[in-house]
Amino acid sequence: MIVLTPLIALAAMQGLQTEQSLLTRIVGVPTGKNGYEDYLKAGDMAGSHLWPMYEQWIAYKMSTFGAANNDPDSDPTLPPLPPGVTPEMSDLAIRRAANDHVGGAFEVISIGNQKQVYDPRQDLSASTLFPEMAPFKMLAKIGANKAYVEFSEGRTTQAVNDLLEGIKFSKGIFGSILISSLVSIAIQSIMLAEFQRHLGQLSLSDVQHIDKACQQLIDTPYPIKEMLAREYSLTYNSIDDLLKDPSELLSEDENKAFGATIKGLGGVEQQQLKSMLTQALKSRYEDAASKLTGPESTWPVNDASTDAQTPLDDKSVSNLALVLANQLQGKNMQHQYIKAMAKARIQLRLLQLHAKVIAYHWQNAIWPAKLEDCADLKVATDPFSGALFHYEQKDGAYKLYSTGITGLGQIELKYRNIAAQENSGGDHPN
Amino acid sequence: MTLTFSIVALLAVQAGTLQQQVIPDPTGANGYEEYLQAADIVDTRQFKDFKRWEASLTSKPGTESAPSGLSEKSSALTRKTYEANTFGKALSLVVEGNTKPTSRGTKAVMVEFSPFNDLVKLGIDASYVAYAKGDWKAGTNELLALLVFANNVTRELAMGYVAGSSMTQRTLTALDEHRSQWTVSDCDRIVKAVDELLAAPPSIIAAFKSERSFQLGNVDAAIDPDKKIPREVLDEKLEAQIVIRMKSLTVADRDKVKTIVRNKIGVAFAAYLSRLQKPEGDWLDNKRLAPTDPNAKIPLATLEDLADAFLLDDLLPDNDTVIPAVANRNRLRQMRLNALIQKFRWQNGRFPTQLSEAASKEAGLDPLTGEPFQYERHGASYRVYSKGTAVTGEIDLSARSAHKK
Repeated sequence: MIVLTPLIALAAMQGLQTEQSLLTRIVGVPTGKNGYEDYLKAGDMAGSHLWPMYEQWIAYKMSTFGAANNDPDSDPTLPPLPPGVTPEMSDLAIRRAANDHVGGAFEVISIGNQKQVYDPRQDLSASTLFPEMAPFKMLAKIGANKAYVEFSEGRTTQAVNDLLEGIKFSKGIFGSILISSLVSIAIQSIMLAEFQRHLGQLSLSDVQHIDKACQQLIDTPYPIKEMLAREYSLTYNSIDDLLKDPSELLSEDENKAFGATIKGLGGVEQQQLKSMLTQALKSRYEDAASKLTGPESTWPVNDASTDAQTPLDDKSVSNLALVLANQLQGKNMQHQYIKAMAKARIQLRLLQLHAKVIAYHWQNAIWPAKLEDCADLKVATDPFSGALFHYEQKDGAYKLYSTGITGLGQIELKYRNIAAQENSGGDHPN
Repeated sequence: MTLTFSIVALLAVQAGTLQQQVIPDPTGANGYEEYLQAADIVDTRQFKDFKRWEASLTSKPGTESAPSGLSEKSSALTRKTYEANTFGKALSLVVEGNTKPTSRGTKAVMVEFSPFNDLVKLGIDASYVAYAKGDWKAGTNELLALLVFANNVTRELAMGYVAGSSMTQRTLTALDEHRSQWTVSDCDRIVKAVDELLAAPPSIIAAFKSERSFQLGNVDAAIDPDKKIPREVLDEKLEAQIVIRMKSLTVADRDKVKTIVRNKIGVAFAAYLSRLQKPEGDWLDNKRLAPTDPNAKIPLATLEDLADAFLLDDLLPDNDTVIPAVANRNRLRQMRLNALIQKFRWQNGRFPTQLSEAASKEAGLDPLTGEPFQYERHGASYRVYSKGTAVTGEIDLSARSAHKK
């Protein structure tokens, strides 16, 4: 299921190296009605080179050497200076310069969010390029940077709007194919990381806005079924090529055991293999779609079942079909994908709960004693475990997390009240 | 305290507004007049009824009637919003008063300090409302205005010093509680405000000088057998002795007692005013000075004994009196460091690894210890504090943090 992702990701990155705009290459003639066109415009506006330069400089300034060094001549690893940046500038000043130069691109995202959003490409094949995925992820970082600058200036309403637009953007690009859903999850994660960083700065109206927006996002179903159908179609269209050269798909041992056999199959056997493989894949995609389009409480997040064994000495067509099906849509991949999806959904619910907890705090000047004091049971319940999300008051603030997915530990966004002396870890949501 | 509070208690029953009682002839150029006008707003039945009702919500629900538009179900934010909207004019007057020189004079009636404390509570609640609305600038400005107000009150007599010190600490705690919400410009404004407060002559000096004048000016009134002055001397036997001895004194002896009392007041204040001219780190005697309170013993055999009895429990300066000033100036420095650290964090995306990364050597220096302030990282947070001295113990910015230790 995920096997095509690296290939497509590579293609997407390669696509970046051409000069033609994303909008021209992917859409041709814009309709003006599809938000995806605005996303592509935003990607074009941001360009491919500027933000990485700022990002590099921000990372450099955060490094031990960069923090202490203002003399560009003394450091051979000094990154090239992006427009508006001088070596002595602080991290915030660089962020401001970045926002001045590329932040405008992110504003186009919110225009796209107002429209219906769909992938403008009608026919997909294994050779279809997705050059917009890397720029989309970059746009998310530009949006998070914009929000950081706005938070630093006390413009929290604008910052919250931007981060919520980023999450809507992530949802907008979800439905194309699997890779877009994974990029969507990554973009949401970037936005949530920025939210997490600033949870302690949100006003009452900010958190009320977040609460409402999260509820809308949670209530609106993600087009998982459609996405998986397109993904199946994409995989189906690539089967002939894979049968001609299965080495790209199979592991080294499998290729040694089955590679020559598959390539040497006669016409009838090959058709038989294709048919069995197609059936197996269709069944697996439909099964995945059925599991992921139901209520979250029915998602098999804790399913530990494994693929059926495929003996290396069994060269029957049925075993070959099983080997290929496992590689294209194996249980392990499915488990990983479902967990990634579930984690993203939990994090969105956690953001909503943070909003409710913080709203309660503003309204009552105390933290809620228990989650039910600020959220109704439905919102306070972790759909994957069926139990309430874990909430406890701690160190003058609180801790909120989920342990609903086996193997992922605590999934949490951390509220950091720096006026309280709490102990907590890094900057990214778990 | 004898000389001070007995007179206060006698005169506090005077009628009229607080301003009429404390500054009957306003000039318009004295910010203390605005403070008193502000205090008059919270010294009303409406404000007191509101506060009584609010207090009853936790102690005796349903026993007080709710102000119009509020009910027992009203949230804390709704109550604070009502308070800020209804009595907010008082806070505008405080801000206006802060723009002028302030002086209360030595009028014996001291009725304004309790309402001043209510003004601080009102201001803290109003700032909370502003922060809740996301108006960070207004929230921070409100608290900085309260700091200036509290500092100006601290300059006025011993009573003002005590009240103002408490108001300062309360305001600093409130400001610290909103540390997460400070923006870069909030940090700049906090640093500027603290710089100005620390650069001004220490308010304790003005407080001691005004209290000295006040006490000296009231010696005649206090040591007069014909005036019945309610006393707060704890020992009834001692009070009876004073009455007996006073009746037996000749006019000349009474004058001698007054002279002894004046001298003792003068000496006590002079010693501390001299000390307060030294660097801040030398204000406290860490071995503790001998108590300056007189040690009056029955029988009051000599005129000196009688003078000591009059001075018993009076607000003469001693080491403990200086502690609030030292501690609050130290807390102000910690507040400045917090603002510098927060600004550093905004600018660099991380907390400083050492205090010197965010603050100049001068700003980072703790005058009490002669060393840099203590700076500890705690995960995603940090703690700044002073190790203090043997007399003060550790000094922490917020009461809550101190409680956590």
